Amino acid sequence: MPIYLPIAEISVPAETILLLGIIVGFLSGLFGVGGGFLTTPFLIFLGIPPAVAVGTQANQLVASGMSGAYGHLKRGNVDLKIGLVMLCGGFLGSFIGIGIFRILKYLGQVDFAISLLYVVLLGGIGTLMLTETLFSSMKKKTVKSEFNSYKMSGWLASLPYKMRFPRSKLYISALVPAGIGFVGGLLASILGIGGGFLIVPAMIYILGMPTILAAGTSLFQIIFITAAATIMHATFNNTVDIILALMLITGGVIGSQIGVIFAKAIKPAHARFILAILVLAVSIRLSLQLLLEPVELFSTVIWS
Amino acid sequence: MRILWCGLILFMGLFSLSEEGRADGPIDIDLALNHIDVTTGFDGAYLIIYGSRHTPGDVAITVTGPQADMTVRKKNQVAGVWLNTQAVTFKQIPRYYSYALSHSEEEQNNAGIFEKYNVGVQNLKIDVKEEDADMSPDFKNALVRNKQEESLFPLKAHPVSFINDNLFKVQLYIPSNVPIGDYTVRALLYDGDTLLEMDKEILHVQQLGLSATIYQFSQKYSFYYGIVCVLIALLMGWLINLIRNKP
Repeated sequence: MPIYLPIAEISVPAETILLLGIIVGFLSGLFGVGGGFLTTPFLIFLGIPPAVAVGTQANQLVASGMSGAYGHLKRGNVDLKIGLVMLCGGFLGSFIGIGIFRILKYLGQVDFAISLLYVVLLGGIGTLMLTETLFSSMKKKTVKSEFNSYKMSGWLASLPYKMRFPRSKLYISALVPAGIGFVGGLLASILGIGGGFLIVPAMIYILGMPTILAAGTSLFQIIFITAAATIMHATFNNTVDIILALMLITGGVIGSQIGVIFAKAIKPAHARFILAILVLAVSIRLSLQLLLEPVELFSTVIWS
Repeated sequence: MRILWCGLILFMGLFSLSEEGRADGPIDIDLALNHIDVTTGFDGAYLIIYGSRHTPGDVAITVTGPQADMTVRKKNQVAGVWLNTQAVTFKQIPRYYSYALSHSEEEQNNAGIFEKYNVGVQNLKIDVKEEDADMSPDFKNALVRNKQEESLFPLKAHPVSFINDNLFKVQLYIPSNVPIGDYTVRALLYDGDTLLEMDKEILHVQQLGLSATIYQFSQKYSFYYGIVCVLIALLMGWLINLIRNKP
């Protein structure tokens, strides 16, 4: 069934978009990731302008962030204080990100920047995850002991504006969580992703937060960051397509329900391994796009 | 009213009740529908143009969409990576263009009129700044190719099919990615390189219904539109939780 997207100004098969939502939702149910890294490249592949893909993706993440954070909030897995500090950096990051996005669009480098960032981020994370899962049996003990005796290292520890975060039992410079939030904001507005796959490890390994608090707090701040990115994309770029977002969200609900069921049947180590392969596959696919000579060297943009 | 007119012309033409037909002129056209409504279920449409000629001559029809500036970019390999390095901007290019001819293009001997009235993709006015002049042919061809790829420019002329000596019909496919705006449909009646007569109609391509409401709201009140999008997403997220926690 074709459905016309009023902002993208293109008609797409509704089944395809729903299926994409289901697959992404399935992955998020199975692995606990947002899955934005899959949606944006796929939407672009379907012929939706990259700018609309990114803006709409940010909107969709508001819903998935909300649904994810709700449970964490109820169970008290959110460090509100760190979350708010991260948001300060995050808003600044998404504001600057929108500016960078506009400049890239003007220069005609949006596609290139998105692909390159994806290749670097996904390639890095995928490789890390793969090596970690492959050697996890050997490493298990050392990783755990590292956690508990964690001390923020070097120059990060010497930064000013130290604050106490009782919920996470931390006494660190506010600049560090704000900086992590800043990077999250940049990613949300340039790539249309929540950046959980980068933010959560950063909160665990750089801030030294407990894993469950890191996941909850990350989801909590993602709601606000993606909300800010959505509003700015809508205001400055007119690139948020609510019809497309609603289809992705609906598909996501169905997919994540299935994913959660599968998650119970699969070993976490196996799940991480599959996710690592998937992340690497997307990264390789995108890097080929950058490295191989395109069939059509020319592209046309319309200025409205 | 237009449709009635159309039927009337058709009637008169088919039965040849009057040699002169209408007194309007040697060529008249009308659109089966003078608007294309882009609704939520829109998946392209056919534009049907009817017309009659009252003196012998060849017929050319052009359909020109709203215009916009366009930048054509070319990728080059830089440090092993393909990225856009060259760009040429063209001023006021139609975002949709199509045309139909009563005779095949090869048989024509009327370069003058075709150039003057932009008949055929190669005769579109694609102007470029002076400093880009030397690289413009490649970029101009690429622009046409890109538009053809999107089905917004035609690969070749469509046929003008004659129902009898005077009455003709043209059918053009309008793809779903058609830009919104006013389109000019122009009919030329010519003999060799002499223009005999011209007629013009306007086609409105408009979003309608829910799709139009969303589009207009997003354009006029973009900030509030963004807020509404966020609120809807928050509500959806909350609903997802209700569903998830039920069983």
